[in-house]
Amino acid sequence: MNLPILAATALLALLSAPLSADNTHTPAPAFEPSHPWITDLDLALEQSRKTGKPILAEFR
Amino acid sequence: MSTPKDGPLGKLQEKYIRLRITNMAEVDIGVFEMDFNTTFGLFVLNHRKQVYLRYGARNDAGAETFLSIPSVAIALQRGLILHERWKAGSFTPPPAGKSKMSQTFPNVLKTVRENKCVHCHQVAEGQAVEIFALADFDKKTSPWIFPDPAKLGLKLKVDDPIVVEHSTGAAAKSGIKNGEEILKVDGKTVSTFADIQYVLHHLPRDRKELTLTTNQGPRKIALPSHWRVTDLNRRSIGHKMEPFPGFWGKPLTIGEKKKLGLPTESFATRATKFWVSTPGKQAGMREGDIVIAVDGASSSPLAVNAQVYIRLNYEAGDEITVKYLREGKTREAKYTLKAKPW
Repeated sequence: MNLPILAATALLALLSAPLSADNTHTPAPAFEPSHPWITDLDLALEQSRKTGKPILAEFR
Repeated sequence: MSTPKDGPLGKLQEKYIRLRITNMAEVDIGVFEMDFNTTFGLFVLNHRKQVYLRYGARNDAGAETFLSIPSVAIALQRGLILHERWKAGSFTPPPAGKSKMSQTFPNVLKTVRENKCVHCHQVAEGQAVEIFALADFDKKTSPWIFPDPAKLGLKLKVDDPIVVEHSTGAAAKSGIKNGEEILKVDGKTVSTFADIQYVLHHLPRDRKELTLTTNQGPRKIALPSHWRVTDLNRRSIGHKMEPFPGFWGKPLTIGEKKKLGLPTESFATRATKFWVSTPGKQAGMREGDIVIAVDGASSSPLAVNAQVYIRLNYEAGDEITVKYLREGKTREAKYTLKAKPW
């Protein structure tokens, strides 16, 4: 899936996300557009080991 | 809304190696274990596949109830703190889960072989089939997964769900007060709503008591009866369980029940869909009919809607009598249940 499609999908999900009953919280999160993400777990593990950064894994 | 690089979430993301999983084929769900009946999930972990926290969960109200930008930001901040503590040796995350690849579920493998994208709900369906196949599977106790802390009397704050917004029931009896922060559940560190649900999910079935450690100290909660029960119709396991109830429907809200003079605990359900050959339709039911009783029963502590009641209490081949309302009149439909809709 390319970035424009991802962005459009996220925007659609955000616009269609219902608010809580009391409408007091910010709607569901969307991460696009922001940083590049990698899609290979082994590469992420290796980069984490090298850089000392934790991994943020997103499922959608 | 987006999360630009210079925004709060963008800055937090920079501190992570960012991994995006868009296809559930060949995903180790032993490591990435979550409620897959959701729309969105995050994990924070280290290079040893030790998960610090998870984010993304559902309750009976929906899959978005506990999703919010502030709660994501808090989760990401907590993930960074736990990572630093792990590096410093002051935090021991649970060991990586036992490996279990998603394609071990036959339905997932089939999708992979068809060269199609595997979705989270397909993993949830695979898990449901696996639960049905358990040697000790019991319809009255086994189907409920990822319980809702609300059943313990914990109404949690949406933008920071380790904070108790309103304590009632068992939680209040244990001494938990509004505003307390839940730090551990059963001795396990929790940072998010999903973390709390995850620990509750893994509690042994025979547990009667649970210790929550809050910022005010340990609290012992006596687990109420049926505390694991959620609306099965909200999860794959509820859709996969046989028999098919004879109709598809949506449970009435408390307001709708009151309007019709039905008790609030009623499992009254509005029929919303039939196929031509579905048994309810063949017995005379139509879209809009409100099912109010099944063989004389009108409520159950295990079912908030009539469809789940039928799935839990009957088998394919059983004959049932459904009482329903149409235009203010009570009618009955008698039919034999089939395993599946077709």
